[in-house]
Amino acid sequence: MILRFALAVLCCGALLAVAPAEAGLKLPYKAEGLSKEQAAAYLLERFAFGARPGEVEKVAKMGPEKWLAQQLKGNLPDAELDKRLEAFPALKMTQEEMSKVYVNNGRIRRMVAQAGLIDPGKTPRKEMNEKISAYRKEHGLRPYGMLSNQELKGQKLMRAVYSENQLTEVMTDFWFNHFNVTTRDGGARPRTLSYERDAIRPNVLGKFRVILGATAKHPAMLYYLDNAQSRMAPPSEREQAKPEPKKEVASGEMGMDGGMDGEMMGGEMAKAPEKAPAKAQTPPQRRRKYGLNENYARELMELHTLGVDGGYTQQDVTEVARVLTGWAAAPYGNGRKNIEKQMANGNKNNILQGEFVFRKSWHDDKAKVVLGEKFPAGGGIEEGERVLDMLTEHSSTARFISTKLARRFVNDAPSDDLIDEMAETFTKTDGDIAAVMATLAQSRVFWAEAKKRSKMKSPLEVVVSSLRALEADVKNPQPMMRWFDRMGEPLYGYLPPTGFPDYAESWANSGTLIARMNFGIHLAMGRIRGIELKQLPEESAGLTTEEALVMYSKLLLPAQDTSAIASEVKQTIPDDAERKEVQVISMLLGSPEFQYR
Amino acid sequence: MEWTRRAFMKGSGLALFSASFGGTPLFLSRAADAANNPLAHSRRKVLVTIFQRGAMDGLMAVTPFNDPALAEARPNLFMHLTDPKNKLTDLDGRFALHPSFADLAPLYKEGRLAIVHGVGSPNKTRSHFDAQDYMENGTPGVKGTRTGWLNRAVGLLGHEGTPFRSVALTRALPRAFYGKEPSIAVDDLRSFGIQMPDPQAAEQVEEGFEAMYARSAKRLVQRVSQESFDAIELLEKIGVRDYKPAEGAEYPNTALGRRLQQIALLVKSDVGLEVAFTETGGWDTHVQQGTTTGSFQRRADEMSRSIAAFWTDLGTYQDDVVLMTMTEFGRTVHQNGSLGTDHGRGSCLFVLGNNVAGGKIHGNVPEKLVKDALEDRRDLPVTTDFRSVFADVAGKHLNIDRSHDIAMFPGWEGERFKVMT
Repeated sequence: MILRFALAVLCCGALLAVAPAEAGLKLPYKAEGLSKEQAAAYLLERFAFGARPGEVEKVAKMGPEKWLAQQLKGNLPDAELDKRLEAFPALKMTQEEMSKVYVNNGRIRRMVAQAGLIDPGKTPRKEMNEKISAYRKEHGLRPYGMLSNQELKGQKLMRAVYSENQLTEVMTDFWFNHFNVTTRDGGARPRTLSYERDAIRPNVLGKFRVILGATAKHPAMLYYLDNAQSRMAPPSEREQAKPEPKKEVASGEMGMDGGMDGEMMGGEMAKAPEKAPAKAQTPPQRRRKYGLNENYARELMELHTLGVDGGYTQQDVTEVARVLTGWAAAPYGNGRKNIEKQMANGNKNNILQGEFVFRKSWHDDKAKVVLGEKFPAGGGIEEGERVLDMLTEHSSTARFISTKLARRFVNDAPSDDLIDEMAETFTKTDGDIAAVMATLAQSRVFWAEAKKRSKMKSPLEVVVSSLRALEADVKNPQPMMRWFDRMGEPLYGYLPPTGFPDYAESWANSGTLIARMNFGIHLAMGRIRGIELKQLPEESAGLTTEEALVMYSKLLLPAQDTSAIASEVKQTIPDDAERKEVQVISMLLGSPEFQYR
Repeated sequence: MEWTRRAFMKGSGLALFSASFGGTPLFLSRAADAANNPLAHSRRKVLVTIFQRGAMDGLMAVTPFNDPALAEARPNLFMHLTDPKNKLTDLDGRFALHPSFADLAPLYKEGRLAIVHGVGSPNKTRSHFDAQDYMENGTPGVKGTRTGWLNRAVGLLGHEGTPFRSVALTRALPRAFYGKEPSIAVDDLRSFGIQMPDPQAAEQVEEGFEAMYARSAKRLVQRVSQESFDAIELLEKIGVRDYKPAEGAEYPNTALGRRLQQIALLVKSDVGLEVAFTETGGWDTHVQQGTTTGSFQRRADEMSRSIAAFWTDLGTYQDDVVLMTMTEFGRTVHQNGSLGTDHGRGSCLFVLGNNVAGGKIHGNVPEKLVKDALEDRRDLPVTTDFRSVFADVAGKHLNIDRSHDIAMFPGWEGERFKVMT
């Protein structure tokens, strides 16, 4: 016990001495019996999506510490990636621009109808579709599904494969999953790209408070967990309006499909035709629904900060929900202009911050008590900010975030000692994520895992590590997407706010394990369209099984003992087989060894 | 999982005989099976669920044909019983079945098919996503529920299962199956296996993988791979690639037809299937919904022919199976300006089985669908909580005690809706 304490003090001392992480990381790999190459290979599996050809040697040569310090900064130039990302125009658009360019079937039908080109009640379907597609072309409009299905998913794969700032991409995957939203939610769907781009990626190695605030205010999260609909009735109506505990989506975001395999179901809410009769026949008070919605407040504490046993009560959930009433998505067009005008005139009823707006008239301005702290009446937007501060500073958050990071980067059941160490860094540095990661990387526990390789790769890690090792030229990321579905990780497709569970049992079942083997076979055989493997040229056709094994084991399982696999592969592949290297790669990719990192 | 390869293969091997050579009396193989196989999983009850994504118009599927208010609300979509072109099937003097559901009419008349009308969620969301999420996680209004209701139901069965216990014929694992009980989600059982153009090479590679995983020190993948390869072998034996449905079972050549056909094969092969899930899309009929032709009609036709074929195909296995449909909500009572209907509240669902209180339309639909009788003055009111129906169907058929309903549907304290006998 005393020894453990002494060790902890030593570690912390070491950390404090190297406060800016890059100044002098000390990675205790030698103490765990690892060579520099083995250390490099391990780092590339854990802090990157796997090694490219020659990369293990490169990292060993420059020194694992220096490589990690660069990754913790995450500002290496990314010329090749930038070029490839040009194929995704939405990445350069504002949310409002996206909403104008990516237009769903219902909206375009109304646009074309308004232009007098069709009559949705009469024009035959075929003619209607032709008119619509001509209209799209003429006005530079793109199909709605393209935004989330092609561009959002495509850019994720491209970044993971090609970015030099690998840790940034690994962390983006981690934090997105931590603050999960899904494109299968109609409200989050068109906003998920900007959510990841603006709220997540720039903040993945910064202060926790910043990423927490960015996700809290992003419309994707506001819609996904319903805070955008959580509101108090304005004072004038408050007496008549009874609180309505359930969410009511009366218009707007219910448009898109409910995600039958992610395909479009033509599920647009036909707003225009519905509005006309509704106006005439429905009493006005039915058009507006007020009420508290606790979904975000609950997940904010249970999933984003404190953890389920982090020391809050149902009363706290309700109070936090009250604090966050009025935290909503900013409108576009005239609605936005009006708010800007008001703000310019010193009117503080609405506070606009990018895509976020605080609506004072929706806010419950009475006094509240959150986690024992009193909030006097009339705190406005500031009390929400204060709650986020409190949650960031809470010791449960330090532990909860440290536990999740350790589970992702170390093993499925990380030790309490490691979590304590990381949590201490979290608290001391005001939630500096890079510093917490540095603590993790400098721990003996982390390096002791290198030889165990106990962390099962997620399907994303399987795919990306394969593509990196075989130097894939991804010309079209789209055909790969169904492999993520089959292996059990439909990108941006996890419905509950928990995100994908991050432990081996959740990835491995009879269906998905076979899918992993088939993925390897299809990739090696060139049967996944849009992808060429530079490490598998035509001339490799002459290789013997033995030669292919030597070459591809080194690429796919660098710095590892692969003798057991080698003997099985040799038994499996007949001497007279053509293109033995294809089978060798298939077997290596499908091997149990390749499923772990 | 206390399920051993040998017992599984042995038990199923016997059953195979009945599946591949239809002439063998089933009772014979079953008797032999039960005698030889201590797990006796051959005779398990199976719940088959179909999710109609997009929100089916329950008022068109099972239409109150006497209601002048509905006729007025839907000048272009109302179907008159008296119009011979409509070919409605009068079920009980008040409701009639859409002509494209006609294949289900005999099952209703035989008392095997029950309809619950006005069913839906207590949560009033009209978002597809939220409503589907709630119907599958089984906790309306609560998004954070990690597991799905069918996965929880499987966990309450109280006995061991095979790898085929819980199967979704879908591209991705459905929300209803999220949870700790193992499930298989596969779009097409024929693709379950090592896929290579050359079957001989595929076999070699499969053996290679089998050996590799058998010696793996990672016990998780060692066990799971063993189950996977057994499952592949089994699917080959039961002939998933060249399965011939029973005589008279004519599945439509569509995704749903194929999926139900594969579920029937699993049922008849005694591989331990207990909960199956599949889905059909395209019910979101905002535009030109149509009556006897159009988008609704096409979906209904596919669905009813698939279900009818499935039922015929089951043969003597009908006693073991209950099939239940579900959809996230219904549609507006009034037609919209595009000759379609918008997102509503209550819809209807079908329950099919020999132990179902069939031949009856359960639930409550207002006598006249005038505005004052509607939910929010626009929708068929939800008068039956979907959980009360699901709990009764799953509970009675899968033998899950009432006291576990709270575990199946956390936060729900209602009574089961009596739709099973």
